[in-house]
Amino acid sequence: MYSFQTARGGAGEYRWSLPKGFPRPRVPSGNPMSAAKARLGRYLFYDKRMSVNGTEACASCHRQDLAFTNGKALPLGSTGQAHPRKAMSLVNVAYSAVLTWSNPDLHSLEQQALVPMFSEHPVELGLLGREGSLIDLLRSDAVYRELFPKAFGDSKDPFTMANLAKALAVFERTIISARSPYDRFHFDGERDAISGSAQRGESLFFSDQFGGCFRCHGGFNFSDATDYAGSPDAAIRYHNTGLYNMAGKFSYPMPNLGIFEHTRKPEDVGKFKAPSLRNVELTAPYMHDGSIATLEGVLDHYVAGGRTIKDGPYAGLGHDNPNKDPRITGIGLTPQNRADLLAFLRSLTDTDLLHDARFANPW
Amino acid sequence: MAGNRIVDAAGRPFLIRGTQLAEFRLQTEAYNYRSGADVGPYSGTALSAIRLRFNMNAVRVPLNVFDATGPAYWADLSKLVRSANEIELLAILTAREPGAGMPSHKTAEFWAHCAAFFKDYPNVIFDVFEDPEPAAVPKSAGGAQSAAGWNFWRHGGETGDGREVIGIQDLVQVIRAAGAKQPILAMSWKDDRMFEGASRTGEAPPIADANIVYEVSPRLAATRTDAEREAHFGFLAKRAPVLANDWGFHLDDAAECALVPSDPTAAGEWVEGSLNYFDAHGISWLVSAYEPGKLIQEASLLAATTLENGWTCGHVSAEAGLGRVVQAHMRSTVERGLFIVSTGGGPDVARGGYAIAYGPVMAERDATGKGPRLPLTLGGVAVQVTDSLGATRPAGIAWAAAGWGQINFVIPAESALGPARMTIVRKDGSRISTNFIVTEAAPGFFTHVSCRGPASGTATRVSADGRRWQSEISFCTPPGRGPNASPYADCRTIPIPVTKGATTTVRLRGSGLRYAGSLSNVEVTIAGRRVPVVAFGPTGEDGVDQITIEIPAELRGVGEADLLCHVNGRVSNAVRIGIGTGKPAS
Repeated sequence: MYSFQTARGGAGEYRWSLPKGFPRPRVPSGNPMSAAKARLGRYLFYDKRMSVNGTEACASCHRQDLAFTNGKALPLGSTGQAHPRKAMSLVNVAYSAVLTWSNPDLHSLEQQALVPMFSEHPVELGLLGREGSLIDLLRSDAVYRELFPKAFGDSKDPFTMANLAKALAVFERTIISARSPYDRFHFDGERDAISGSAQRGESLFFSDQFGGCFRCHGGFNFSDATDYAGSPDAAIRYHNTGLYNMAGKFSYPMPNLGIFEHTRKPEDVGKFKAPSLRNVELTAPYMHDGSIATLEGVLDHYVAGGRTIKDGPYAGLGHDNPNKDPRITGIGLTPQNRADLLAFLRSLTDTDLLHDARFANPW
Repeated sequence: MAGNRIVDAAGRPFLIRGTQLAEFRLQTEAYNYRSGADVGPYSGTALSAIRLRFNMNAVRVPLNVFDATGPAYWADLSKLVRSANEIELLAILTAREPGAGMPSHKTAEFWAHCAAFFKDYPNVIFDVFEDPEPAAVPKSAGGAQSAAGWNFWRHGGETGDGREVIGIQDLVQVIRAAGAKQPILAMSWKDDRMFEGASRTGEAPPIADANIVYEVSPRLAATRTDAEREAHFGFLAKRAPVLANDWGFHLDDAAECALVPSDPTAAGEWVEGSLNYFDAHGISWLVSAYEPGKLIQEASLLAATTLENGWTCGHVSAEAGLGRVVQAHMRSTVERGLFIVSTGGGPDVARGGYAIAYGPVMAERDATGKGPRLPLTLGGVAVQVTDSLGATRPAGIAWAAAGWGQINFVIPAESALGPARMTIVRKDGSRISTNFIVTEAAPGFFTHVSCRGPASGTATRVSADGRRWQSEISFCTPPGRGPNASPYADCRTIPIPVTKGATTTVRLRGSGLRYAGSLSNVEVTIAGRRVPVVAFGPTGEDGVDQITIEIPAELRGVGEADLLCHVNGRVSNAVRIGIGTGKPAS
């Protein structure tokens, strides 16, 4: 297994040891990396006591075997409420320039970690108003009595919600997928790491004449919403892919209107972040609302230049959505091209990640 | 010939590696030369692409013996031959007698005239008869591959259906009798066994002439392994020069296509395996054919066909074919790798000149280098050129594509001549390299679209009393919009006014010229006629050169024509130029 990071114990300097091709993630100055924080964060991430009724943890919606997604279109919170959007993968989230599908204001993992704990619409972990009892619980646990002080020994009281969020964020930053067959082919010179079909698919993926997939899913993390230490401050782009084109006020179904929910600009309806395609084979169902079940279906969507829904409440020609990204015009693909593109996308699956003990349930 | 090798005028071993053009017809030729079309099968653009982009050295031109009826035919055919020769392509003239099976007196008459006409063209080869039919052999002879069958192939006789035919040896004698001394191609029986049985070990090759190349047409159905190649024609290659003609995939033939591996990588490896066999055994080849759906996808864009996108057997597709595999082989690279061309499109690039590399550039973003001094890093990528002395230098970059695309860069002027290596170094530390040759000069002209079509430049006319007029020599209308519009600019030549009593010069923009040495090394032709070169040299922009030519009065009114430049044996891309009379268009 590729060792991509090492860390010294305690809250001392954390040393990234990233594989070729991977830049150093940007880490907020207020929450430097440490092995102790990562260890604490890992325990918290898998602890079902972090939900109102002890049924769910962060890991419930972010399963390691599914590349830290959960395989559901609309995940359920601990009280059974459905989340309106699919759980995004946490793999390489350290490189996300912006978090969630469509919140252009959410850049901090520390901030984001609190959202599922305390959100009410919908209830996810259902901890709103229970902060005190949660902290008491953590204080009373022998494991946490060891881990919190090690991680936050400088704090007068290490048991705080802020430190809890910091530890979760640090753990999430360590979940880096960098050794898919594609990486080994591309960066390590393993010529047999991917098939000829995947190699052909790579050239299709990175060619403008075949849809220019890489224009939104490019770079080492296969997303145009990528950030790292020293990266230029490029504007983050959101995309309407023509998934819907309903009649009426909004062309996308409520409550998923994309960044319009934040900007209130009509032209932003239906615009979402382009997620990383790393491990995309494992992250079905697809799109922000999980409305496409398979990778083949996603390909059909882009080949058609938008989705056509013939009847029902969502009926409409996504191809004609006025906010659609102008690059998405349809792609002429032969059956061979389709097979090759799929082979390429599947070559981005990092199976080591799925079994990496550093990210597994420690309980 | 020297034993089993073709040798050039200097006695060096020479392999014919080329392709076939569409059958020559007067009206096709007229279309290309007289209507201004610049991309047809006999155009300078097509020949230039074969020579430079495919790095080939020969074109085979099928000729129907019944078409050769008058002086116009021979005059126009000779224009095509001269155009090919001018661009350093051998012209292989092939006689077709449709439906004959074996040659009749008509083919003999054709060769008597053709050989006499072209006997003084040193870069012409005669291919005496296309597709001798084994079915023409009388049944009593015991089959085409029997001794009697091969005797029939040599000398003809009465066919099974009672026709009198002549043989391949007879046609060779007709050609020699006309005074032509060039090499002659003699094609095997048109069956899967080709030259099997034509001669045994130690015997002389089957045709009595010292200047014969034996021609076969190996089909995938029967000649797939080295053992089969050896049995059908490889054995003969040990004693005489052999050329594999019409070689390649025929994906539109459902039966043959069914034998092609359905996986593009495996199919490409089969192509490469055949080419490697030819190379290893000194066998020349002509791949089928320079036309859409075979070697190229489309005539005007010059894009090679590819196996990458798959194919449907029996279905004619313009995109599917072995063009890119052949192109990669001829550039000693791999199909899906990185390969370099000069501005002219050839594999050799001049120091101080522009090079274009195609492949996985993978810049962070599409980026254009600005200013007369080009940046050394662009879009997060850098280019290094390691010359034949091992010195590595950074190259200025003018364009870098995100993803799979092209990168335009300038070969450092200090680079030593000879084999070199170019490496793209990306910001993430990954890199990709390919080999090429650095030369002193490799002329190429810029145009508005991919270095083909109308040249870009400026014409200056100076009257006897010193008055000056300047004008552009081409213009473009931008690409159209909408689903059916061409994504490419439509470019046309503007007739350069050539008037009596005035001097007209044209300054053209190009690359790869600055180290050409003296004026006498630089030769420019328009419509095959040499024109005076007034000056050449750098423009002050990295990689960009200029050349000024004078348009002689005798070219006045010649219309649209090909312009070519030769420097020290290297030829440029063919570009179009229009020369008028100076009178307003009616």
